[in-house]
Amino acid sequence: MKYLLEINKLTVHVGHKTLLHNVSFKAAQGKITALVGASGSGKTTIANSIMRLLPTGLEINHGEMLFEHKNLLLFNKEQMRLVRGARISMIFQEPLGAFNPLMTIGQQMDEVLAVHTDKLKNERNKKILDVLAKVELLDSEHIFNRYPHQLSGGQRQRAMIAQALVADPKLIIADEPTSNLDVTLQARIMDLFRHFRKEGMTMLLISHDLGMVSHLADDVIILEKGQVIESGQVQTIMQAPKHKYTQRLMEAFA
Amino acid sequence: MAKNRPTENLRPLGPLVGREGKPYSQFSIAMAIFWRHRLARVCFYVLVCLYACAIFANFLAPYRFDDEDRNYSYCSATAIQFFDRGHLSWPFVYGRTLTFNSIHRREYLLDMAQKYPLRLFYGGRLFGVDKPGRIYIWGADSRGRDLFSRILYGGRISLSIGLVGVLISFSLGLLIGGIAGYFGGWVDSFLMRLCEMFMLAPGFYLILALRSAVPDNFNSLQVYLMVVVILSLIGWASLARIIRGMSLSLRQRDFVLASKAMGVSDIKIIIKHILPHTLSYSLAAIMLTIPSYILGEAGLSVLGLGIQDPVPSWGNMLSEAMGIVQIQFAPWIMIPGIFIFITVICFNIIGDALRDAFDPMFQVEG
Repeated sequence: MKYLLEINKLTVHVGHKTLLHNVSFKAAQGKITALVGASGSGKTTIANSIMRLLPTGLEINHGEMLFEHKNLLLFNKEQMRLVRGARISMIFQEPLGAFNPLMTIGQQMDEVLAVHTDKLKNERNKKILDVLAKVELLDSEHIFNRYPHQLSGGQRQRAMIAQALVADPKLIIADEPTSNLDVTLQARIMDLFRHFRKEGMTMLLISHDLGMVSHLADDVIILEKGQVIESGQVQTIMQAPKHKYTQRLMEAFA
Repeated sequence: MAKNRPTENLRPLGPLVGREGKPYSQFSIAMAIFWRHRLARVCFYVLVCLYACAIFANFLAPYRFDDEDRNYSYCSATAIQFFDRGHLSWPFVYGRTLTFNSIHRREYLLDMAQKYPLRLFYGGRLFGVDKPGRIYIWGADSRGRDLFSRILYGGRISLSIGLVGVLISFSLGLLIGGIAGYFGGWVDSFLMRLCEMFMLAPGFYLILALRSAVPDNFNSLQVYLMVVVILSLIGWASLARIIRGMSLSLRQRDFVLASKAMGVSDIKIIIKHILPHTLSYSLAAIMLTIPSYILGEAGLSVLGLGIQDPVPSWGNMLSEAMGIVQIQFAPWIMIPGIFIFITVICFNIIGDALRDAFDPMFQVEG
């Protein structure tokens, strides 16, 4: 089994408080790995640590994060910037906030491509339209020229996913990608993710929704209060949860 | 102003989607709202006229700015005559003869014997009269230079100084404010202390101090540039502080984090994601700041520290009007003041209208 991302004993502090304590897990190449836990369990802190975009005050005390066998913690600012968006990219929970309201969807996607590739303007436009079509946004040229507030919630989330995909990253971190959508839209976004997995995309899915995770993920890591309490293949854990907390989580979403 | 809007100035706004189904940007919507403000539109046209006059001063003015004739010192305005002894004729001006009245004041009497017909396209200029006749539409100054011509030429300096000054101080203010707010920490502290150093000295005295550091042997272009730079150095600090505050709150927004997560560089985030959000404020502020540059230049020039004679600016032309005697006997030398006034008022009204237009609370009617 090839692992794209390996987190070893990651510990994050804010002041004297420990947010993550010796968190270790691996994300297999071409699979969906889910981080599951209640709010405050440190899921998003892990995502921000991987991107090296922790809010001020939060510090990584020790640990290592191997991405393609290179420790991200040893990267300097500029190296890290070139990783973001191009090698690892992120899908945010709230797409309305994550898009700049003054720029069209096309302009914002173009910005990402312009940063990471040296393609010409018309090549970039073609790529953007391709990716918009790939996330099943019909009439991609129409979407290209829209401002974020002019799209529906589902369209915005797809546009967000398209933006994350536009520079062909190796790893996608999806932070609660469906929690703001209604159930039918959730199902369609999950279909989209399944489709991407078939194409070999590696994904780190962050969710509090064990029900959704059980349908989508290959591996699951259960977090509680900043510690990994259980991890393994999704079927194994769903059939025989060892930890009490996991059992409670499962009951909540049964 | 924002509370009780002049609704009678508002025409209904058309549909908010442009041709080819492309939506209007926030900017173009604001511009459409601005354009419905009738008074602001009038002011806009007035300014366009003033700038056009300044640009084409070479052609519109009958004399060069330094074309002097000491025989006509403080000569009053020359009326253009259309009737010659009761008969309609081609417009002409009478000659003037200098006499002294009972209190030994200069008085220019019309000399009916001399007639100088108005010549159109005379010597590369729109109009003029043959020598030794002179045409003074708004009278002459102490050296017998045509005030009208000098106002047109003076507009070049007075009207451009605001634009150039604002360009410099706003680029500085936006960039420094944006950087300080975005990065925070010691960068912020350092830049803000720097701003405070500029803000702490009373503006006009700082201008005077900086001006005295400029060598005397500068030519007029160098003096002009120095005055602009000095005025801009005063202006950027307060703007930088406000932009810094906005940037401080904008950097917390999700789309800034999202851009970082997409690997966009810091300077690009500041320019493309932070500063455009301050546009509504800064555009109005630009319009409201331009007058202060015009007035600043005028203030310096009135004291003789700005643009040097014979190159005219509205400010140094006004410096002639500092004596009560001159105002009493040649009140026309205050006309440049009227131009300063009109310009300042126009910029202020446009600035106000822009601020309203960008106000998100503005109700789009119709």
